[in-house]
Amino acid sequence: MKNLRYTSITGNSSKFLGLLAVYGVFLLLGFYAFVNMEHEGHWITGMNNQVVWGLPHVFAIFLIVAASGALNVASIASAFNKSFYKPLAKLSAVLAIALLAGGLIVLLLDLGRADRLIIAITHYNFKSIFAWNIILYTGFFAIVGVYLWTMLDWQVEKFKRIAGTVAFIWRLILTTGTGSIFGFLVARQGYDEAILAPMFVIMSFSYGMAIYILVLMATYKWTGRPLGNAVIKRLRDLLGVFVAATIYFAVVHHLTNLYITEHHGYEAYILRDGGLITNLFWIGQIVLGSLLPLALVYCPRPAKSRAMTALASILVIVGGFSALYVILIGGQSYPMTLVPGYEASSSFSDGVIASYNPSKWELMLGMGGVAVALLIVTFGLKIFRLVPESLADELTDPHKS
Amino acid sequence: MNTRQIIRLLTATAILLWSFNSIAASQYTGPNRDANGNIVPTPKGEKCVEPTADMRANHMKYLLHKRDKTMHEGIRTKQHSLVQCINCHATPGADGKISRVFEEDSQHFCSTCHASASVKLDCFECHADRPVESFSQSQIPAPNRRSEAVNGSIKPHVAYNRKVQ
Amino acid sequence: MDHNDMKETNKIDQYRRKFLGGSAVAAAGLALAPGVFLHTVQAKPDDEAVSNKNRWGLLIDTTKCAEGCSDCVTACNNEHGLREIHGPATDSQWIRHVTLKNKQTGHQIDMPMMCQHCEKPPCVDVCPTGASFKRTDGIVLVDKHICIGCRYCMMACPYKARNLVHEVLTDQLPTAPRGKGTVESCTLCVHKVDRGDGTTACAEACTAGVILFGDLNDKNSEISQRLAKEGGQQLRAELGLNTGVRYQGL
Ligand code: SF4
Repeated sequence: MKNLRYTSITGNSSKFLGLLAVYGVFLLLGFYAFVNMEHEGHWITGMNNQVVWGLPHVFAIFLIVAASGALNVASIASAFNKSFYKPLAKLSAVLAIALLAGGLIVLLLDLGRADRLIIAITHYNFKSIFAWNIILYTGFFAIVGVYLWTMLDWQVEKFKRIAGTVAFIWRLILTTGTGSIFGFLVARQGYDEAILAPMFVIMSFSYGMAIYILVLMATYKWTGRPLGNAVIKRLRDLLGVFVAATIYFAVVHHLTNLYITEHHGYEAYILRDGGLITNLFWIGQIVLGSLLPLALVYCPRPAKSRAMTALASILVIVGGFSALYVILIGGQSYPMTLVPGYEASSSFSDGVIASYNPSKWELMLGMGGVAVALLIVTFGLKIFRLVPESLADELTDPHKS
Repeated sequence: MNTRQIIRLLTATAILLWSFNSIAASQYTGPNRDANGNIVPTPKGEKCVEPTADMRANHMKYLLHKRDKTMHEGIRTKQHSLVQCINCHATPGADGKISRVFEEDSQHFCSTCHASASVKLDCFECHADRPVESFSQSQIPAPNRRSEAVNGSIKPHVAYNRKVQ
Repeated sequence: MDHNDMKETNKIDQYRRKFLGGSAVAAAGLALAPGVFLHTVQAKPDDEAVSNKNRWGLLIDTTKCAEGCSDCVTACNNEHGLREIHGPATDSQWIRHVTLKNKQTGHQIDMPMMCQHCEKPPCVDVCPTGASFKRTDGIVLVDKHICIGCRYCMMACPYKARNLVHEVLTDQLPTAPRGKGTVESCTLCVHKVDRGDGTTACAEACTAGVILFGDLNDKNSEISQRLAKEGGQQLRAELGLNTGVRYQGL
């Protein structure tokens, strides 16, 4: 491989400022939503005593899961020593940090008492998976930060391999932890399954890769830097593998449930009778989020088009949001069985599907988190020398040089 | 800046903030007026459970300690209990009304002082800021609910019909 | 106040309790039908910490629970100042009347449901800050001072016993502090238990005698004796949580 020159983006074009302005608008909207929710309480949102985690959590968990996946490229480069991916690694690390920050901010601002952040840091219940996750997230920032440092500073470069490996292991634990937030909930029919943890790991791979592809394409396109097909092809192939694996897990998850008679009601709700949930599952998660991207990646004709690869990535993201909405909202709105064989009714939604209608506040808060993530990436690109000036084929492709 | 300098700077800032704090605490004049000359309700009883100066400086520590004792161990002595503070200190003002913490220009014992010291007052988002006797009749938990709830002399605040669907 | 003064206060407290306790027992005596077993719960001194000598619980006889009745719900709401605010989806319901219908036989069960005060509460396990906790006497509570309102406990509770306070509250009762953004649930009338009332608001209010409060650790208490003789089931017993609330007639 030839020597590549890494430079930061200039970032003073009017386009760049326009981009910042767009982020700014979403940031302000998100902040406004937070202030409102904090002032009024959660009744102004769609959340209630039945569906306690709503749209903000869909956003937050998507971003957190994607953060770990965004580190993939860097992991392949360092932990597995594949030199082809090395030029792509720094952006991958920054993207991971950015997405995690965006997700966490949504999670924090949605707390009933967001003002008590200090308590969340000083009081730990070590039996709580949630508390472990707080440690995992903080650790992720630190470890990926160090890893990034080893990639940017030649003086500490010798630690790059080890930092990369630690980051790789850490992020696997992190996504397992995120999945376990649900997997350990014995109370609810839709959760309480160990498969959720590995499923989240695989989901993270594909969402993270999709976002990475889009960010990389946008960066090179908007700065007019050459981006060769070799890079795109490798990333696209990876995306295809990850999406296929995600489908595999979704299928196994639902087939296992269909085998267990106790879960039939829940499966019927998700797969057949759930209205919006069912649509999101079949149309959002399966057709748009999995099958279509697979077709775009693997059918020879669309696979040649870069726009189609971008579209596939966007669809994977759409599918990811759908999948998390189904897991989160579907899992919560399905009633719990109190006494087997008996149908319950009460003033507290016992025995009925709980309703949840997301509010504009929640959407604004979630979008604010996305804006935070993108803002961090954009600034990262401007401040650090993250990406090579050119990723043209003759520089990257070992067969052509 | 090296580490030593940073530490020195931080220490200096801490000392400065701390001294502002003590100046603010020592400014209070007389028992029933706060720093701004607002009249504070006259407390019931002869004297507080601790000397006034001690209370001014340390009431939050006492309350915090007692809070955990009550919450986790069920220790409900009156000493340092927030309810008791309120019972003695939240008394009617000149207009015969008990001032409430969150009303405008509050003359409540706690809020006048917290306002002039600019310290956020968190307790009363959840806790009662006046003695239970001053609640209106329908808000007091009667010692024996049964008869009253049944014969309807107490109006329930919420009577969800169990089959709301 | 020095140590002596403190002792003095405690003495006064004890005196006051004796006086109040006496009249409360007298009142309870009047309300009881002749021949009904009366077990007085001994009040602990105010300055004594609760201990695992006791395990407070409820026994609920669903066969006596009347369809359409909400006396216990009303009593609970009054006792803790729960009010109607933005509707049943977001308002707190610490206790609710649940009707169960058998899908095949049509058999109907009516029963009150509240926090089941598990011995191994999932809400306590999952709470990141330790705000959810179990007192040594078995009462599961939320320390709202350190609750951050993450609602993970609500996700974890198999009985949906918990509520988030969805709005700013005013006029909370001194005995039931509650506030926006924190989670709450049935406290087993902990303020009454600590006062030595030996009952809960819901148990007091139920004229049909569905709800019995008592000490599950005391072999001689009425609740233990009835459980020993008549038995009682846990809701969702398969989860192995060893609940403090037991049901008959399921
Ligand atoms: S909502 Fe409060 S009590 Fe419940 S898990 Fe979170 S911090 Fe703990």
